[in-house]
Amino acid sequence: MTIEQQHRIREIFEAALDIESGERGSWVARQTAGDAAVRDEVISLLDHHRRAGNFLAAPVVERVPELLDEDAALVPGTTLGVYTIVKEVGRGGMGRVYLASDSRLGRHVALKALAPQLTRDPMQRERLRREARAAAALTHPGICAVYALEEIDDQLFIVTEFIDGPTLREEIASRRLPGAADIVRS
Amino acid sequence: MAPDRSEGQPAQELAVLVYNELRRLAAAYMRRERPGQTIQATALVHEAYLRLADAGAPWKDERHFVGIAARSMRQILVERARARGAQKRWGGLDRVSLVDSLIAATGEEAMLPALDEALTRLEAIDPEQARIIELRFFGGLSIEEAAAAMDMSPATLKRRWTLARAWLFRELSASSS
Repeated sequence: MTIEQQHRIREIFEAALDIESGERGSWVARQTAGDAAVRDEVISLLDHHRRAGNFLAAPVVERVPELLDEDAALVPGTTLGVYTIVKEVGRGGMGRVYLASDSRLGRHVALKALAPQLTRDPMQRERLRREARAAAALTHPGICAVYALEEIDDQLFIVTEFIDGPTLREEIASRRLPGAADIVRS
Repeated sequence: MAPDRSEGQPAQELAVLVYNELRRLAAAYMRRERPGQTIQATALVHEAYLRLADAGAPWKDERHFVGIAARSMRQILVERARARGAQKRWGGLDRVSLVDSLIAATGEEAMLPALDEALTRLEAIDPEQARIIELRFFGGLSIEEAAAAMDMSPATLKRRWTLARAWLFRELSASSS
């Protein structure tokens, strides 16, 4: 493709944007008479323009906080007091859950940590504390046991028993919804 | 027309300076704002400019600065995506999922290294188009702001942006084996 052809392609593509979409094909064919390479390229670009959806529609900088949040995830091997992060097992709007090992007692635990943007919010911290106290007051085989509420390096997290298994979302997705009998029995 | 690199300044040094400032400001916004609220990218870039100008950083003007800010964001976000194994995730998608994810603008982080390479190819054909994408996608500039930075009318900039976006969309949808 020559420079002149590149310029022609740009010019015809840009002008074609003002032509009603039903007319574009024939309009482009008329404009590019005698140069099939230019015609095919313009048609192909217009076709991709039509199908591009939200491609590049939102600037990536707007996602910088989200990306920083990704960076704030605790990576395996990080130690927080007596706990060593093994892996992340879940995340949601409120925070993340990690599988960690408790070096003091030599067992696996689950750490539920508040999302980094929430850790400085006193109300969110209080909410997590309340959740820990409420869950700690209950003992039932269907409720995981709360071991501790920890504050280390400004991070607040609940330490609980680690129970492996599918999430409710995965259960729903697998279409094996628990029946009333399953719920009552447990 | 060669892409505006750093106009004599050590580009990498400026990029790091700008990135650190943007990153610091973004973190400050996150603590201040309510969760879930999106920050205004241009407000962020403008604030970084004011702070760095105060600190005596060598900017000609804000227009010069936004060009460098956009290029810095591109470099740093792409490097970060590479370090996080984005190419592997992107390369693992079949053609249908890849095109779907481009159209829905999901999994953008995984796309960044491929976008960066396509943008470098576009730069070789038409540096102006590549710069427009940089300013708008990586710098967060609106049509009007990008038009002012490029010294062209908003209508012309919008058409050229549309062309560059179509070209990149085709490059990326064809990039899977």
